Amino acid sequence: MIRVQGASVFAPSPDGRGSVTILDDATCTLAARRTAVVGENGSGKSTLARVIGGLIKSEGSVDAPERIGFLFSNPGAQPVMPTVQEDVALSFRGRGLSRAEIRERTASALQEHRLTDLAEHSCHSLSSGQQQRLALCAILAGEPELVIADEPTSFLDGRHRRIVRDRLFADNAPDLLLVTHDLELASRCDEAILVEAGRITMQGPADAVVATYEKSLE
Amino acid sequence: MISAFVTGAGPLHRLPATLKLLAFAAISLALVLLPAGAWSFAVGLTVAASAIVAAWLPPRILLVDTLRVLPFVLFIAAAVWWFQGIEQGMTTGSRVLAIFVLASVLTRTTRVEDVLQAWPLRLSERLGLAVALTLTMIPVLSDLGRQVWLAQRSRGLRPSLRRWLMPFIVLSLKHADDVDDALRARVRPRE
Repeated sequence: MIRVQGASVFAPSPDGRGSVTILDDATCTLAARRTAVVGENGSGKSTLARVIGGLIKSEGSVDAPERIGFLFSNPGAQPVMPTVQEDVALSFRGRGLSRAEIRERTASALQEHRLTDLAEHSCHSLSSGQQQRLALCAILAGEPELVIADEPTSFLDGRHRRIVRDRLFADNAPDLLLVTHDLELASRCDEAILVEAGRITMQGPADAVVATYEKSLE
Repeated sequence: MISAFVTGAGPLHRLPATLKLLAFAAISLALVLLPAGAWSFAVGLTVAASAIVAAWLPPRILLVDTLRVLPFVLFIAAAVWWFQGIEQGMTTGSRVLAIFVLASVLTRTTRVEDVLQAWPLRLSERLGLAVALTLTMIPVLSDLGRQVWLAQRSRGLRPSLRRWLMPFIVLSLKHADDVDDALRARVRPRE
């Protein structure tokens, strides 16, 4: 369950005088297992996702699950450690596990995501699709209650798009907040919200919200 | 490109990470404490060359790493030369080069995972992560510097330290922001 109450985000205006509103008094309660966030570029949907994920601070209040994993649209921005194996292992640190347990769990996570062959590779030498699979593997290794995915398939080819999509929508996957321009993907969610000019203008069943949004684009 | 561990069977690969970290700290400190002069300049270059040989890796890997940091080293050496004279500038340049090479050899022959488990870093997760990120950051920054230089060259701009420095600083800060976001994007309790 996510509760956002009067969340507003401001940024300095380009001319340096005053500020512009990125997110304007956003209020919503999201109880569905999978929720899509749709809207045009610059509408504030990524900002809303980052506010919920705790990546940026806002006015108002946010009540969200304790354990959240955030998946960026640009997979190259996600790895922190030099190699694939080390990057996944980082997700197991700080949880009181022994070195052997971390190794074992890392190997298991890599195998589950079919990344074992890439374990020793430099993260930054991977293709975008492989990097996004790695990012998803590293995030799911942290056993999140909620995954927030900000346009997770926009850099990917068809094959990797399908792999990432199937992972996010798997039966055993955690709850999902999906920011996307892919309306077919948005329709697969249980619920959706429409963000326009920094405001949440509609919330309801995904099909209905997507249909309204599509109509507004015509 | 982030400098990554390279599988190998050399003596440095077999040494425990704790020992390598302590040696890295001790040699770096010794280099910094040496008085400026031709002798110190030679010691810096000898340490750098010895580290490359001792790594027991294909020479190309470490030479490429070294070439990437060379613009930094030259910049620092030139700045010190400008303010404190040629002797101090050359000594500082050779010291910085040696420390860069030692860091590169350390990351190429040691898994970050082992660095994090080394004493005294295993005593504090935050300290270990900070050191691991710092080691990772050195080649990243050199790569960013190269990208700025290439971008300016591709637009026909003449090399200029002043023109290069500002975009480099902006890119470095942006990268630091990205790393911060990436770390917080991992599953961690909300702040």
